[in-house]
Amino acid sequence: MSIEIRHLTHIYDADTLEEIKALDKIDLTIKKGNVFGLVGGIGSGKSTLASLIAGLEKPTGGSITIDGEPPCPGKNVGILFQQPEDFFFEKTLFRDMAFGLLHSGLTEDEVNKRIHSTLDLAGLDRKILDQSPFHLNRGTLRLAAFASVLAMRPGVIILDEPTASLDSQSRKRLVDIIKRISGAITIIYISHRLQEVIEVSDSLAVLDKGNITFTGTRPGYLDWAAGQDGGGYLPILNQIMYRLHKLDFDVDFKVTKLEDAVGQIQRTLEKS
Amino acid sequence: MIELEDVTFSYSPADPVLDGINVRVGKGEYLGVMGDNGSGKSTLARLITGLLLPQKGTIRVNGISTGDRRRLLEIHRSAGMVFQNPDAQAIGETVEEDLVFGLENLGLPVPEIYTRIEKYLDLLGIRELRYRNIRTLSGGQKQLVNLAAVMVMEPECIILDEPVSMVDARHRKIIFEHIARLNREGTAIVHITHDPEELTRCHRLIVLSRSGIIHQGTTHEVFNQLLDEEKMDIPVPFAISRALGLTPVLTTDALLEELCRLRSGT
Repeated sequence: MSIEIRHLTHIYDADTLEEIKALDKIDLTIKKGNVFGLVGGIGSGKSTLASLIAGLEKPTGGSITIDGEPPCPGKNVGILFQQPEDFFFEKTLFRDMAFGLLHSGLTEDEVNKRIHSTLDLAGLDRKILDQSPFHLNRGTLRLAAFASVLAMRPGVIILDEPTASLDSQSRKRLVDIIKRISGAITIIYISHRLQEVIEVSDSLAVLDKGNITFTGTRPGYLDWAAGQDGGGYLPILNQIMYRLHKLDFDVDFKVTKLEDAVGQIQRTLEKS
Repeated sequence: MIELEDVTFSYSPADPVLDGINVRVGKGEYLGVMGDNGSGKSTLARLITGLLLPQKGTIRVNGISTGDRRRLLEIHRSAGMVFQNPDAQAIGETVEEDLVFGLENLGLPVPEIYTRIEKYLDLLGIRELRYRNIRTLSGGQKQLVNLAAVMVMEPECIILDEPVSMVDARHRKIIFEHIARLNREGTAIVHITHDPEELTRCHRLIVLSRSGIIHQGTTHEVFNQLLDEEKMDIPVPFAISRALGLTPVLTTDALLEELCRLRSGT
């Protein structure tokens, strides 16, 4: 499903002393089946935008449509919240995963099938379904929470800091799932892990104080980020290469692999 | 400052998360803790602050056993903890109320309370959040407020459990510079994270695996071992410098300095 965002404005506590304009007349088009990366500092409006696209709040101005319809949580859009494993509360993981599905009007049989097929898609062992969520580790629970969102079969999924507090193995598994489902599902990917956002996203936007300061594709993003002061929006590998480039090392700062970076540095050192 | 002696802890009897581990953190020391999900890192933090009690072994903070429940308040005063989940910690409604709460409990005079609050909000670059309702803050903003809430207490030891997992690069830099400064001034730090770039200022590192410590040593020693194993991430400057056959360095600045020196042949 494609998402159209027009003149979107959101103000908290309007007409009070605490008034905060979280988003200011934003326009964005997110194509069907794309992974759309959303980057920005704290308080830039990322989470507000996520919550509006997820249909959890109504914007104070402008509009959001998903294939022409307003967002409806659990129907055309699903969200994986920050630290979702803290919301598990049932005796077994199965009951937690079934909770939303049973309330959406599916039969028990259909719920079973959905849970099993999404668990397979997420690469999780079906055996964990009988276990207590309190005995499973954070990585497994995060993937299970993601599977729960997928099981609702929304056309749009918002992932809000999905890899925060995960080890590298769980992070890789989560990114693999995203790569597998993209194309069929439109994904909005919010993270401060720049390397990861760049790796998974087809296109990206940067939010700063409620305004969009960049939209474009990966190579365009790196060019834009290099022009920002201190290169703080570049992933660390690109930051190092950019600073070397500025020091007249003959290296390409848009390199994506560590081996390639090392090779380029070696060649420059040999030449000098 | 912190001593764990032969500590065993399990949530279910047959399956210990930590099994007979020994850890010591001296006054003014900075210890980094890594390990996969489920390896017991957060459990370790909760044991140190007395939120959990071990089934076996003893934990002492400033010489006080966490088993001595009458003295738990003393432990909490000397060891402040920043939780992983930003919603697990806040007490007040506004940011300022949240920060005032702990300081009032310390019995500080009112002017001192407000001086400290201003100092730490400024240091962390979040002065504009002072009167905000915590409920309306983003995950990253809440993490910064939680850090401020522990720092204002000026404890002898700070335990950080994934403190900035949702914070942007600019604020992370500010935070870690400040933590390093507190450490230089004598505050002991226990820093739990999956992000190796956060740990470049540690004196020592331990890596936990289900049931025990699988690596321990200086930061350089442990990152060298992890690089050989290829299982866990290590800081990018460290990986580059080692791949180039140089003495490994932990920070970008140190790497650039070394490469410029090599290029000029000095």
